[in-house]
Amino acid sequence: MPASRDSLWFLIAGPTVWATHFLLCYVVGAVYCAKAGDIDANLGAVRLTVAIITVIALGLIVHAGLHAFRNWGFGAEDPPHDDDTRSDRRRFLGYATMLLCGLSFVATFYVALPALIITSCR
Amino acid sequence: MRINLMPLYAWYLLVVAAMILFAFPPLIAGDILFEMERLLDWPFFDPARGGDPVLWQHLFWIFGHPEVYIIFLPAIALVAMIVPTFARRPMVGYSWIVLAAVGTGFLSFGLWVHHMFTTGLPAISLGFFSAASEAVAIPTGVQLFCFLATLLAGRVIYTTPMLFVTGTLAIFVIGGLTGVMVALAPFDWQAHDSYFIVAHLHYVLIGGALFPILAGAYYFFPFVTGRKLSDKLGKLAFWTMFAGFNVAFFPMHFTGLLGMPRRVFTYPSGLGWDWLNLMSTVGAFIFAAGFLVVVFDVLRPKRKQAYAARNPWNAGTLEWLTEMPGADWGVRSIPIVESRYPLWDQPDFVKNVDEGRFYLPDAEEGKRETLVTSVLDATPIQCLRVPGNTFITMAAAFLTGGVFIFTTYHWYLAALVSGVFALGAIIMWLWNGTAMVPEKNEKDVGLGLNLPLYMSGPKSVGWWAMFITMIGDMTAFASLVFAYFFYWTIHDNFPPPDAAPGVMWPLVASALLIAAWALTQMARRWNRAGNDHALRLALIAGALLSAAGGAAFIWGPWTSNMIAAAHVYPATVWVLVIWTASHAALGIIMQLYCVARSLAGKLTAEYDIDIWNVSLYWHFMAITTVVTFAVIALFPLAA
Repeated sequence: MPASRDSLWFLIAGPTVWATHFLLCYVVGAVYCAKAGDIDANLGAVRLTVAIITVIALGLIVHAGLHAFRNWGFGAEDPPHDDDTRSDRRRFLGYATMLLCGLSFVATFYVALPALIITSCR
Repeated sequence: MRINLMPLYAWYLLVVAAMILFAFPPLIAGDILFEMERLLDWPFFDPARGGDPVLWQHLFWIFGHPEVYIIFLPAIALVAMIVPTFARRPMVGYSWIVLAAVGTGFLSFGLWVHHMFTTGLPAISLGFFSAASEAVAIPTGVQLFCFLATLLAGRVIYTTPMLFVTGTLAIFVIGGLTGVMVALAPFDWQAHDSYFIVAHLHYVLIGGALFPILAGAYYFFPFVTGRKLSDKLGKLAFWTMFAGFNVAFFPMHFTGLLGMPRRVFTYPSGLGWDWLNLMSTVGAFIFAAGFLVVVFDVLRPKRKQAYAARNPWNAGTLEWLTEMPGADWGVRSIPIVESRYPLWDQPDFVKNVDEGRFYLPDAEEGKRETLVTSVLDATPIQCLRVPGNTFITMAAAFLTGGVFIFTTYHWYLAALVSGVFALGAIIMWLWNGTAMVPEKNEKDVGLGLNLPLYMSGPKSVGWWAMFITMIGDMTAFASLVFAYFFYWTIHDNFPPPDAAPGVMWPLVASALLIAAWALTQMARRWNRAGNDHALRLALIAGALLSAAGGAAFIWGPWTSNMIAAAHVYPATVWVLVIWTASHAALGIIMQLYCVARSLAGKLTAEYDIDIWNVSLYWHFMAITTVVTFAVIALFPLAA
């Protein structure tokens, strides 16, 4: 991949997916329960929606993570990547992006967990 | 300095700056609603007329929780600078700390409802926020482990700043652990609004902000004044404060668990809280005594004290280039940085900087200049002239403040006058200090490099400043739209059937404002093509259309007799149209400013920063217009 395509924006790919997933989960759950008007309303549809967007979100994060893994050079060189060279700068960004994807994966998975066990709007 | 070499402090500050952009505007939106209720009795938070105080809680805590990290991250960033200096080695896990800073920045936006666990929201909502609140412990913990690993791998020198850092780590870890406890909704239901929370938040903020800031104060005092603070007094202050803090706040965990609520000034005796509170009181006095030692140390006269040696802590980071005391010009030349710790690693670094062997060693034209570089590899791309010292900006700030302060006291005329003068001051500063046409196109910045002095559009810093400002502005607008949909979720008749203002006037308003947007964009192109008459005509026509568009937005609810004080629905519509109309008014000022700049010869085909920035503003104005139209006119048809 040519170096000109590197961008600082890519660093936040994973967390951005997490944020979008989080917002969607919250909005879907909150609007559904507010509009259901029944504290015991069944969350079936919400849980299914959360499951679907979680699979999509985790897929996107893994995709970004693999891309970052490639930019890092598949771990051929160990950190700290602190040389004043374009390739070390690239490895650093790849590595940091990959770490952030890892964190985003765990955080997205965490956020989806309540939908596994909570069945009503109570 | 490539981005993989950037000081960790800068990484943290970059994250915090982005957080501020998204965290503060919801509070501004909440304040707008709050002031409308306070001044004009618009019922946003009054349940009798459809309002809901929970909306305030949402808007406040969407700001409030990220704010905790906005306080914490810059303080912990000081720790990230101090630890390597006194461990005498580079930071272990630099990339992991970047992960921690960026990760915390994001996750902190998914935590706000954990302040609202007892407001009766559905369990599924609490679950999402509880999960995110647990997840944020990961990046927060990661950076602490990096600090500990660096200290373990190095040879630590326990100076006063380092003592405060160790205090930080000890105290903050306890606050963090109780944070993991209260992030669990069932535990929070027990501990909410009790002294347990008081203990938790003080362990977090005194450990996570006050101690690191004091570490930073001792560490950077010579940087600022050229002289060190007293090591003896610093150690005395640290131990007194550390002991006093723990004696004062640790017992509060137990007072809280014993049921003592927050925010009470007295309580009946015999509830088992007495001796714990007595202990806290004693601790508070010890803590305050320790702080007084710091205050004394800072204030005591130091004229007879010798200046500190240059780089007094033998640090490796760039800021310690400064002379003791600092020179008027800061550093002599802008260095090429090749290491994360250039003062340790780059031979003759300080000498070369001092002798002006890097960029911009002199100011030949006597102007204040800096380098603009590429983001990732710091390749110099522009020599930027920045405005010099002036009191106009201070005047603008005070006058802007006057608008809000006078409004608070209902002195509307004074507020108006203050606003007009504020506008005048801002325009005066813009006119004289920004987008200056340079006397030559390029300049030699040293090391055989010639750089342009003027760049416009997405290459200019001003364009990005407008972009960033408008992202904040759009966040505030999105918060107002959120308020609309919040009321929609809690009411069955929001918007009511046949809701005013209908479609016609909002549609007319939107069409006019979109036409103004199109003319502004065309004005920029015509100007580039060298047709300055077309620029002026298009902008004047655009300003007239904007005025008509803003008025049409107001006209809709006005002629449909929407009384804002009657119910939250008309109030919400009014807030959205006033927001849009006032942005149209700002757009008019910008359009006319460009006309004036063009007439004065400060805006030309070649030097066109102003119209680029104004046309960018108008992109956001167009989005605001379309969203307002969709919300107030189209959504009632669909709902």
